[in-house]
Amino acid sequence: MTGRTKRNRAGWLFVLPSLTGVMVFYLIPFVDVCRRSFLQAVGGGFAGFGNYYQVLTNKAFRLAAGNTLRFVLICLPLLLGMSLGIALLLQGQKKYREIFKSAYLAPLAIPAASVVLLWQVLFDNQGLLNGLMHFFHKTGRDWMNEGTAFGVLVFSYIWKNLGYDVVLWLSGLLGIQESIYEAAKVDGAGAVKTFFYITLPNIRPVAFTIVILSFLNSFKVFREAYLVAGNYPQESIYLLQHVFNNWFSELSMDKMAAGSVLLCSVVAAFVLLLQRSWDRGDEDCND
Amino acid sequence: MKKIVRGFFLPAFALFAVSPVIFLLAGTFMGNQEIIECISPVFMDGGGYAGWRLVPQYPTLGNVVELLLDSPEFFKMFWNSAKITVFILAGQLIFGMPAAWGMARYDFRGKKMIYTFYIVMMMMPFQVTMLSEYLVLDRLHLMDTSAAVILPGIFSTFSVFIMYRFFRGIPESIMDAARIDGAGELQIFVAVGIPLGSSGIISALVLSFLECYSMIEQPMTFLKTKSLWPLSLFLPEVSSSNAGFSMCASFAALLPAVFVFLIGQDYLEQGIAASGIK
Amino acid sequence: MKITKWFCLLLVMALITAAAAGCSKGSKGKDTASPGAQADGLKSEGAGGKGKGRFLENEIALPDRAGRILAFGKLLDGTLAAVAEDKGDKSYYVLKSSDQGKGWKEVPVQGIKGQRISYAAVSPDGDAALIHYAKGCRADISIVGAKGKAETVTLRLPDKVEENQVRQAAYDKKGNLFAMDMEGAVLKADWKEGAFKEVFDTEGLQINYFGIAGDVMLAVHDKGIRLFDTEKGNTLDSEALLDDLIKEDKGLASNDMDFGAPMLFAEGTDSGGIVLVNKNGIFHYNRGGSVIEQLADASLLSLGGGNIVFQNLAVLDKDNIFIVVNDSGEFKLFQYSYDSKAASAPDKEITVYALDESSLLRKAVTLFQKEHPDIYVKLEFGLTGDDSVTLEDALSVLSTNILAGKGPDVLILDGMPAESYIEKGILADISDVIDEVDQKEGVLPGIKEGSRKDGKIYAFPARFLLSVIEGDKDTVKSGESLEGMAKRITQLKKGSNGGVIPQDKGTMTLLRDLYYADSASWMTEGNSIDEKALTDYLSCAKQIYDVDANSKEQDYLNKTGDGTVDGIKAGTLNETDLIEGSSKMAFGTLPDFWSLQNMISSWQLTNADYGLLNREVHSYIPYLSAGVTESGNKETAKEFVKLLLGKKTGDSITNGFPVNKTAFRLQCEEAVDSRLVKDDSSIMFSNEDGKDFSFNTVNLTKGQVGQFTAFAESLKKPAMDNRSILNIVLEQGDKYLLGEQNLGDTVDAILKKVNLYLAENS
Repeated sequence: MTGRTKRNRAGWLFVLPSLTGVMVFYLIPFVDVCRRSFLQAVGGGFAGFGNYYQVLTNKAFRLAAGNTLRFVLICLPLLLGMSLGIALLLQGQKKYREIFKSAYLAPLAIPAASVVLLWQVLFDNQGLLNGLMHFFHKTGRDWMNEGTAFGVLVFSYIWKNLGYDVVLWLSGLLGIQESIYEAAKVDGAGAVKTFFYITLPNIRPVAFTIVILSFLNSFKVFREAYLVAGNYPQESIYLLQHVFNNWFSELSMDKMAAGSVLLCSVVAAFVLLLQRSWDRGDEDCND
Repeated sequence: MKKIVRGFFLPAFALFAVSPVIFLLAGTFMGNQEIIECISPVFMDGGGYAGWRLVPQYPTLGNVVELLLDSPEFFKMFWNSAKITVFILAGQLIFGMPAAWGMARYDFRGKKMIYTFYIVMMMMPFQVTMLSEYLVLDRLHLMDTSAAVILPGIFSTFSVFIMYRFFRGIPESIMDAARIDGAGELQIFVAVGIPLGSSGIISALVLSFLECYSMIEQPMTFLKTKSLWPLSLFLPEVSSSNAGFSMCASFAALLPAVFVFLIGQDYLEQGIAASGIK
Repeated sequence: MKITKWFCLLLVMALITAAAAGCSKGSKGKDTASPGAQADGLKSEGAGGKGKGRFLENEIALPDRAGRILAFGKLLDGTLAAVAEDKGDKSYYVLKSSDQGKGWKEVPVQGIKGQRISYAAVSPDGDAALIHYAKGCRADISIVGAKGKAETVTLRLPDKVEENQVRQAAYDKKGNLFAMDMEGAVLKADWKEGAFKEVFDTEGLQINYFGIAGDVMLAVHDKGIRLFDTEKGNTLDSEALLDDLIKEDKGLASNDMDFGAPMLFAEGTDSGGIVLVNKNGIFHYNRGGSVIEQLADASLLSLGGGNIVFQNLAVLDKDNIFIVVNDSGEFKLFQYSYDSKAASAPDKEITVYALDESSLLRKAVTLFQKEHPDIYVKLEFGLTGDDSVTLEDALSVLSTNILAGKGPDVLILDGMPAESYIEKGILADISDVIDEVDQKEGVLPGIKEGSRKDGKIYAFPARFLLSVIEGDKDTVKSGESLEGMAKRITQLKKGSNGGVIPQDKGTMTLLRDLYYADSASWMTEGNSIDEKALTDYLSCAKQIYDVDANSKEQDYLNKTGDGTVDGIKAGTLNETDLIEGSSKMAFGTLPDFWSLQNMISSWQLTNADYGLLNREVHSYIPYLSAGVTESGNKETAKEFVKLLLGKKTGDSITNGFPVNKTAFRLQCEEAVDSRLVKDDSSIMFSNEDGKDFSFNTVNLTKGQVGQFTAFAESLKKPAMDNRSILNIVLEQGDKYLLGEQNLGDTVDAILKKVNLYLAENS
């Protein structure tokens, strides 16, 4: 098996340059951040878990963490469900499928700055939406400055990521051989049964990717939130990213370090958990 | 029944997705005056409500042309964007692509750990790594140079993740065949991996492009010299004095992304489909 | 081992590419840096470099009686010549010096007695052209020969407008006379036809001002600089680098001064060379060249001082440059001569950072530089106004620099989150400096106590502003609280038949003025904003706004509120409405002694009175609040703060009242026996209906000065000066005033945002 080990060493070599970069730019400095999270901002003395305590009891951090969690918990299932639904509809739709796919994907191409412009025109107090409501004799509202801001953000996220998820789901769905469905039909399975016993298990591997990517993208709505509403947006869309950004500009390095470590642990735990749960099913599902 | 659902929902969602895009594109072709007319209630305290036209009344590319020829600051930012994007994408090809190949096609010790580590890295919002990135960039004296945005961007693990999935889909038999023909591992990568994984590579590039092109936090944090800023930071800071111009700038900024997307879209889907079959 | 080899090769290539990319990026960044940035680059290089050779400054004494310098230039034979106005009897002289200004020959101008000269120019032969103040579309020009005899000629001006006048005048080196008119057209004197004629094709551009370098006319407009041949009149190739100067800094194209210009030009000693001077320094440029070379950095010279207006520039030879400036009303002539032995730049350096441009700060830097020639002071401004850098951007860049250990040594904390900086240990205790200044020259005790925090002082204002109310006795009395004033205004409105009651203000200005009068008492013990105080503030603002809501003009402040500083320095109290009789009272910030004197002088017409607004709070608006960073060069930084607080910097009668007691007292004395009065200064304006109003500036009485001093000494609490908070209040308050949002929601929104802001740091 020397050939094999030698070959696998080549694998290492392929990975090495990239890994070095990642280590230099992300991992090693992160270790430093961990170290700093235990130090005092002024003077640099050992602070134990003082910074963590400070962060966890900080009102702003709690609010932001709650908002971020709420956002993820609402958006992720919503996006996954909606995109899967559309993908299922598209699965049986051969005509115009390409056109629909292109239409759904289009928002992906819009840079954040342009999206923001749109949001401003749409959701401003004197914006299009209120104009429309006025037309129907309803009182408009200041969308970005009330609780509705959260809704706008959810909307923005779904709009931007729906297409990509649909296409991903669809690729999974189209990968299921037609013959399996036919066999199920012969066995007299209904649509619901087919979905649960054939479709779902077969798209499991793709689902992992989709969940990962959707989760990843849920952090990116910050751009829109930031560009539309700045450092201190309406309370309901004040996200963890806002806190970190503001801490950075206010030089609260101690809090930032502790916060980074906390957030990192949570995200890492989530990913590992996800991977573990997928791994339990079949041996090679992390792709 | 199913047909009705389909006939209703699919176009409805398509409209939902596409209309803002059309809306923005319409703005690109509007003249200054028309834009101001439409949006004055939002940005200039005009009375009434904002309006919009999906088909410009007097379609013109004048604004875009003026922007490109007559506003150095826009131009400068555009080239900064181009520079940052090109360097990052090239870097991802040079470093990310082999890494994805290595992880996808070889079994070596620690591979799984590295792969998981890459995914975790990819998931981190910028704010988590902001401080660490800052510390290293400062030590390397790269703060306030384009490299401060480019270098970390090159080692973003996102593109590795995407390419990995595609490389994974190439049947081992093809590689074995190549090995029997006496090809070395690097040759296999170049002659088999890259061509067969091309759609994946391209879709990773397209996604990375879109990502780099609207990068906001990184340049904002690491670049203090305004002349280094990319277009994404050309905030639509619309005020009454420059409404037309700013609007137009953000419309024009949209065009490159749309072009790249249109060109890359096929690969994006093809690639996704290919990996799905696996 | 083939794979490994291949792979190594690939890796090496990759690294080389990456490195090359990195390098080219680095250098590209510098190449493409804007001219403004280039100047910065030069500056810092100059500071860092240890080379020899530098232009040194030397102020040249002008004859005692010379007041205004109307023209200055170099004659063909190398003589320096100037046209000066006598300080006393306002007669005119031609001054000549053939020994670089050591001695001056004075030739009185004869034959124009009692006439007012608005502009003048010196021809290369030594003739002087004096342009009279004339009505109608004409220019009366007295040509003064070597003997001082004036001969007056009248030239017609283009009559596109009724009252066209000459605005600037200069000779080229061939002896042609040029002028500009009110319409922004550059004109050439045609003696034969008896007219000033447009000979240059400006393609309809409005020219703001012009300069002449030998036989090249440089006409500055909003977007760049046009070059013409003065003799032939043809347009010369445009110079991109010169255009860039204007593009980089629009201020360089402004023409808002009656005399002088933001930038001067003169012919260099080399062919095609142009020497130019602006607030950044003295530069040399060769037409068609690729770089504007900096000869001297203004911040090392008196030219960097904030109140400098450039008048004339003459290049005697390669190593001797002469510049006439107007420094706060006083005309000065400087010689800049190259000393090849002097170190090219001071070896020590400190950085002073402020959010906003400040002329006073520039002046302090210049003073400091004079006292410490071995220290280079780099002045950085976070918000330059021209570009779209927001407050947050600026603060975050500052933080990044502080974090990297590249932060400034002196922080001017106006508008910054000073509290948070103190908490994080960024600022050093400067109570020793304050005590020292206090012992030597004294500082206002209330302000000293107001700046103390846990027994230490981390930030101390060099100057302050006040919120005042002006009107009849009862109105002034009502101003002891905002509620009182709001009530009084409503009451006045009821009793009047129409008309505007308070001085007309837009929403933002109104909110800001009241904020500065009231915010000192908003903060609660628990580091959050008091809800009741905020509610009261907003309802007062609304009440006052609504009194005349339908007669409001558009507010000039932009919606985001980043433009909030401009008004502070200039003050917002404006008595013109009161004088015109269109309003019954005024309130706002009183910025300085100059304004105080004008306000009191205006009472000749209005019979008004004034008092502190919201005087229960005893608050002041800190200005030029200085702090020293823990990480910087503390000793030198403290020296700078000492100078900033000192008597010398304090003697400016504009831009705030000095906290320094000696400076304050000197200004009080000045107000009692005022230069403005000696100069016979008067204020004239006309209202919309064309009715003229005027009043003379008067000396203040001892009583008035005493009353003001008592006001100043009663101050003890700084208004909240954190601009992030102010912006939130303005943004939300604006909606409430305009009726887009109700009181409860507004208070709620402000509290949520501000408390969030405060919570982040707790």
